Amino acid sequence: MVKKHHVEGYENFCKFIKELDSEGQVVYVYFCGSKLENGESWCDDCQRAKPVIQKELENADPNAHFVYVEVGGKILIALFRKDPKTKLLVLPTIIKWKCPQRLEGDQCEKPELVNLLFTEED
Amino acid sequence: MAAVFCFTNVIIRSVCRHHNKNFLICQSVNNQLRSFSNSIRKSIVKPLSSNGDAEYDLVVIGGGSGGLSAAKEASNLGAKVAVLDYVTPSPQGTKWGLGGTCVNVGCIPKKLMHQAALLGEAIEDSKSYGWQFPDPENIHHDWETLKDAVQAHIKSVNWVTRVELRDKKVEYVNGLGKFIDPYTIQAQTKQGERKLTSKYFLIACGGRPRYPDIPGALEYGITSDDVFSLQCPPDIGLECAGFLRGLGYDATVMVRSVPLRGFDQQMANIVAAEMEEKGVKFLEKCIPKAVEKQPDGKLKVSWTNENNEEFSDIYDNILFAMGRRALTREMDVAAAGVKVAGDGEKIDAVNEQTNVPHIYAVGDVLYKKPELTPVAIVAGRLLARRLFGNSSLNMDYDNVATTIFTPLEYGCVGLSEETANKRYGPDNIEIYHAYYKPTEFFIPQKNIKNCYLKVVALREGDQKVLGMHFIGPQAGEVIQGFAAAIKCNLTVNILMNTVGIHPTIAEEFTRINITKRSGKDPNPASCCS
Repeated sequence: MVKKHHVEGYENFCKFIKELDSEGQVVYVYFCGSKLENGESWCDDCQRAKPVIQKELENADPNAHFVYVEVGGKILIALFRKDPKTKLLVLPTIIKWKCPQRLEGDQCEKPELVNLLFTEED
Repeated sequence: MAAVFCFTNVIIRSVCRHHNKNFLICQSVNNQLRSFSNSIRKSIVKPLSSNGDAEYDLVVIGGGSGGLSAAKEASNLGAKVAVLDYVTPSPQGTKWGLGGTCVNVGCIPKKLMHQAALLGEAIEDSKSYGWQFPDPENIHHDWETLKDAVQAHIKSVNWVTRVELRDKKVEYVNGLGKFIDPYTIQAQTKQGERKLTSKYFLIACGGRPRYPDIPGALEYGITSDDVFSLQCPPDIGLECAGFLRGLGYDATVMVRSVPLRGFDQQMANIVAAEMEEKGVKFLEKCIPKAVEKQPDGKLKVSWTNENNEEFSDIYDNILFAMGRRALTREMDVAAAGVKVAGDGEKIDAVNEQTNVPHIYAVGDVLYKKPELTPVAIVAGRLLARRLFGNSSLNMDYDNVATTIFTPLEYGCVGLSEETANKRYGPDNIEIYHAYYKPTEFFIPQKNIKNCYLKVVALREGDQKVLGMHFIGPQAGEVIQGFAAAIKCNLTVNILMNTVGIHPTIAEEFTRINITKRSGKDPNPASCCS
């Protein structure tokens, strides 16, 4: 089973990803809008992507890590946008850490594309 | 220390120095400018009955510009499509992902490295514009950073291509395809062999670099397949030589006949002259004989000149830029009954259709068609529309513009002076020409000697424009719009009555007024009149 992690905000993310011991393992990072009180993200697109990603994660390499990042407010989003490692332009975005593979926006709700990201070998 | 490159058509961009090694950057110009007369033939799209049970509507062999464009368009039109793509590693072991030559080992990495060289030039120029650098002598170029950035960009394009195919429901098969019969392709994949049957096939396998048949060529030589991902900086074709020189490496270009064969030779010679002035060395009319590895790891290259005298020298790298061969033999087109052209490799298709009516071909595999990415893209898209979209529009291979990204770029569209003279007779052709001075060149006192343009036109009446040639900065950007104008039957009269944008270099085309026939000096008198 994929190892799931959850972080909130830019600084927490940077600290977490730096300390994550993932030598030789694939890391997927999923950026989405923060959750509201009802437990759902404020971002509609993220809500639609969630079940698709959850389901397709079952097909991912069991040794992989999945980091769920709640990006927080506008200022924090800007930090994610400027960071060359994340280059976050759209919510939701899912990336393969330190790799060119990424899905953005409604691509994250298409099972066939999420499947490609989780199963593709280099 | 230096490197030598053997090219039939090359652009030398630059020579660079890295870790005490000198490199030659050359670019091979496979995009021979030829013009083709399009005979008018009806598109022959024949419905098939013999393979009505086929698994696919279209199977494309080759995931490059032409194949992908046809596949995506066919899928948009409702066809069931599969694309086979497989990269056999180069003799040096270089391999890459989906997307074909342009994305992986052609236009894209070349343009990026060309840009790297131009930026180096800009740093030099900027000093005279007042920019100050704390230690100007410590400004140097790091090959590895450039190589990694270029490769990262390529990999992201590979990924986006995968996503696009998946999104459009085009099946991607990472396997080497081979015809077994006219209706079946066998794919060799990691998971084993797989057979695919289809109503239509599209051969879009492109080509791979040629090597000379001399000792040591395969063992020690590199080609454009390898140069953009070399661990250490390379020696390379004219464009390659150009950007390598621009990055500071030492480059030598060996040319069998003349540089940029097939292009307007006056323009080609100006391009070569500019490179020579920038430090690229040329060995003309020479033929390489052998490459031997020395005990210190360097390469000893021997060659003969036109008088059959023998020479040799020591280089760090040798890059062959001798054009490409089509991969039709590898995919056994004969098993499908597809005939190859007189050269034994390419396919002579009529409106992209081979002699086997349900098998088509696009891109670099086509005989005597421009080997250019946008040509393949448009031909592939139009073909898909004819096959699956009730269209009857054929590809027009005439007046395709192109650009050679040598340090000073050369862009052109239409006929060369030689071809126009041959086709219409020199008495019926008027050549307008001009040297010009880019405004930006004055302050850094850059060499303006090779900034030159030429318009080839019919002599009579309004003087229909047949060809336009431009050497200078941003030549590709300059020539693109004029290509559209030529498609709209541009005349010299219209060109002269077009108001320019001042101060630009593209406006120089609107200022032409001196014909070669007049014998007048084509050098500009002043700037603003």
